[in-house]
Amino acid sequence: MLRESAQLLGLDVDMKGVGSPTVDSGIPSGRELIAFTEAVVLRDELEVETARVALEAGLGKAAMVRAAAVIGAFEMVNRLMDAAGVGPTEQYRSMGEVIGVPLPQRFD
Amino acid sequence: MYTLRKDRPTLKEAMTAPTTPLIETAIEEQLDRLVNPGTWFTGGERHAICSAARDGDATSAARRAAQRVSKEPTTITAEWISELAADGLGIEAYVEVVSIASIIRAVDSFDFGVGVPQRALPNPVDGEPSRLRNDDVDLHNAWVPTTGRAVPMNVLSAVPAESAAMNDLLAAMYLIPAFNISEGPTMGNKTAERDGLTRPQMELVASHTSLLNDCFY
Repeated sequence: MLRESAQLLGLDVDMKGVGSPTVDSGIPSGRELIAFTEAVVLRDELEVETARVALEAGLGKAAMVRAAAVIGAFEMVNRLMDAAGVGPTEQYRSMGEVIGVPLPQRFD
Repeated sequence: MYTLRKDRPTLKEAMTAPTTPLIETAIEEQLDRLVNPGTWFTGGERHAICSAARDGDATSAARRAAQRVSKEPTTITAEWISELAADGLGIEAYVEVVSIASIIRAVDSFDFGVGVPQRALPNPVDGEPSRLRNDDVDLHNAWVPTTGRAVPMNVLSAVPAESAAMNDLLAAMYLIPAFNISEGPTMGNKTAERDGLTRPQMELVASHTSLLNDCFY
């Protein structure tokens, strides 16, 4: 969906930017979004304030709130799917190479 | 038994409502729901399951399950779910625990992100669990029974009240789960924009969250 939606908006996206914070995904404010996501998911008390301020500076407060909401939604969905034992679909199996992150052994 | 608010927004209203009040309303509704009698647990038990997911004691099978769903979801196995069943936590009750632990995690992550303290849970509400079963579920591609192939929107379908609540929260926090509508903040709209965040930006956040959680669905 990331690749598809980006193409529709005329963005040239490097999918490796999803897996690596050091790679520019090509998505506007991508680095700020990644830094904010990491700080929230990893519960990094030291980094979250800096990341929040940087994201607000780039995209505004409403977008920061929305980003926090999307993180919350996927923190939920990730747990639902793992706890229910739903592994990657065939479509998703090929994504590991695209984003530069191989699937963990448990999916072999 | 908890029932969804009669004044909950219609699809049309949800598609045009301002964001922050929509998210706030959805979260407050979830907190209220989490301490009311559910399908297999009383309000008090659901309150304790929530607390266990957050870091409370894990002295029962339900609380142990909540803690593992919240803290180490990728270590869960089918065998462990069978052990929980042998310890008295049936598969439908397990689904309710998964829902409670996942929903409170969503709320807490949002609050941490926007920089507000973790919300206190309301006091538990008395009453009996509904024990309403969904006879239309079966085992497909998951360890829990679902209505058809398991995807996020139906993964809790063995416990319909939890499924409806989770989808409400998903609609408020991410996008409305309507793949057949290609306008407004719906999953079917590949160019959806919400509060200045474009769909690719939302998907970048979603993908990176999943990556950090080691979730490859």
